[in-house]
Amino acid sequence: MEEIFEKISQKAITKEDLVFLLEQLSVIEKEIFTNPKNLLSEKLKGKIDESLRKEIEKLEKEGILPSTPQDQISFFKEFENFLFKIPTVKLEIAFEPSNDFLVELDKWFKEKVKRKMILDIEINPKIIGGVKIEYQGRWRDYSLEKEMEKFYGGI
Amino acid sequence: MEEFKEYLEETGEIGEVIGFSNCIAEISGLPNLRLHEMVISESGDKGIVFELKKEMAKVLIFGKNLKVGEKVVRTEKSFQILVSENLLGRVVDPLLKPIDNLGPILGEKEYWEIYRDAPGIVKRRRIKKPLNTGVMLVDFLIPIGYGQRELIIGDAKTGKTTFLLQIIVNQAKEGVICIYVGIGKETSAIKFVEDYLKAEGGFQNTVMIIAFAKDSPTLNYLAPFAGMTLAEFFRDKGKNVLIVFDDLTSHAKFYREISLLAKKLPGRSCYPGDIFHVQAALLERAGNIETRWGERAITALPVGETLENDLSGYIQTNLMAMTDGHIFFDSEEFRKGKRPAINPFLSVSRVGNQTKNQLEREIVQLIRKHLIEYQKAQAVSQFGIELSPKTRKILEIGRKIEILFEQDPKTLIPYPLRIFLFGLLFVGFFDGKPENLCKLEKEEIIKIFEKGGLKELEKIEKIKSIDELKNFIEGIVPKVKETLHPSFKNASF
Repeated sequence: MEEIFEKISQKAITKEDLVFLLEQLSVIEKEIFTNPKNLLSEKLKGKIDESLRKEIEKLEKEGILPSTPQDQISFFKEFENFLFKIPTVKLEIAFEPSNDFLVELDKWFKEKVKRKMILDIEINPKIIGGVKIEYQGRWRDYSLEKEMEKFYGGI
Repeated sequence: MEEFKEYLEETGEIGEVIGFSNCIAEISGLPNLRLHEMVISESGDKGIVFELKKEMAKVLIFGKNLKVGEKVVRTEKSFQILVSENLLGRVVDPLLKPIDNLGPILGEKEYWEIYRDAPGIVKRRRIKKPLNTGVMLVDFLIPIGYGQRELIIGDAKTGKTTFLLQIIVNQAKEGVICIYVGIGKETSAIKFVEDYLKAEGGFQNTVMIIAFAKDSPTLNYLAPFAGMTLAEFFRDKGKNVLIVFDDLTSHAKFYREISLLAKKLPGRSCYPGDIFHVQAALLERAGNIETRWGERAITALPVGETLENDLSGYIQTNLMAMTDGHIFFDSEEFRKGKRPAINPFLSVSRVGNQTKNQLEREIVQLIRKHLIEYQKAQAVSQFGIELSPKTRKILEIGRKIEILFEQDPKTLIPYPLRIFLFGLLFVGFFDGKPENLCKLEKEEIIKIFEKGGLKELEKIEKIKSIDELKNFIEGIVPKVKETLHPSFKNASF
């Protein structure tokens, strides 16, 4: 099941994406009990992000998504719990990152840490360049701020 | 903020406040955090790690400025306070910051950790030097030695604090460093203690560490630890120290409050399971210790409060188990007008007796014998039957002993004088005299001694047995009578 969840959450890279996904899930959970004759993916048309709706449609076709509303609720609850358990890494950088940059960053983390991570990006121009990383209580400063301070402090 | 950044760079670990209730903050992150470690927040607030869980830590905090979401760093240090010799004669809070409006503590200061291990068995020495309290009943029947831990227990308002202040004054005058730790006290009670010590002398050798009832439970919980750390600082400077914890039942209540807020599992009377360990580890730090200056002692006098003379309470029995004896202030005796209201039959000193010399032991044996006989005779006399001359004699001696033991809070009786007074009793000096006259004569003898009279009493230090004492006293009785009688020439009884 984890593989399926990982696939659905693939597009959630930053903390904002995660919050958005969780909001979408609450909409899905509300729609489950409306029009019992219709498929869930049909009921969600125009109500949630299209790419997520298509993922759900795919799950329905593959028979992975349960058919009864009660089982669907438990499926999405389980997915919610999975999302909450994804570790967050906080990155303090000096510039507004582009989408491509974020995708690259996500890929890099997956390769290095071997698991899905959520990026909590904070923009702080004062650090000039590099990054400050905070992960599970560990903090590392790979920014230029300290170097610059050392340099100007020495003058 | 600078301090926060420095520690962040030094430790490379960061945490976040995820919850907050009264004096407890819940913190996530900081993977290598240790118990009792000090943490600092972005706003500069300090805290002590109180409990460690798998994914978060509970931290005791002092201020109320902390907010959820605020960042926290570890310091890799146990909680520390700034100690100094210049704290003598000052009133401070448990973080040793002055609260007496006399300005900051100046001079050299040192950082000392408040949670320290008790000295091991190798460093400990036998308690052999008597600590004179100046209170005759205690010095004879429940003696205390330097390095002993003696519990002072009794109901509220039975004279416990006054008794402790007598000891502080007596010891401070002898050059012992005294530390008074007030826990959960009212301002008026502290004012009384301060005024008493200032009026009676010895305040310059005393430090008052006070946590008021209105202060946070964290400060009240930390007060005895701060006091003990300061005592250790003075001990390691070569001084003997007397520390009074007034009182540890309040301390246990504050610890219970903190523990319940931290959602620790409550045990008997809702106290957490480790309450015994917390207080025992504190008192274990007292004792007679070998230092580079020779033997130096921290004598601890914790106070325990009872309800309706009930000695079987949870905290009270805990305290009895972790001390070397207890002095029981009986509210019944207090109501009868006895001062100090100590019940010698329900009090005990487990190590104090080994500090006594042969003469004192013999005197104490005699006093105990008379008191036991007196107690039995009192029970018989209540039936209203005609008493035999022997019983009447027992009652008379018992009453005279009680009169000799009665002592007002401002009088301190040194060793030679108390031996002399009981010597007079044993040679029959007070026989046949009415109680009022005995009282007046006792008070007059004390006054004469305080004024520098009765120089012969210096010889008492050399007397080794009760027979020798009786001979010595019989020799000086005529002189005593001569000195006393002019004062009572016109007195009518």
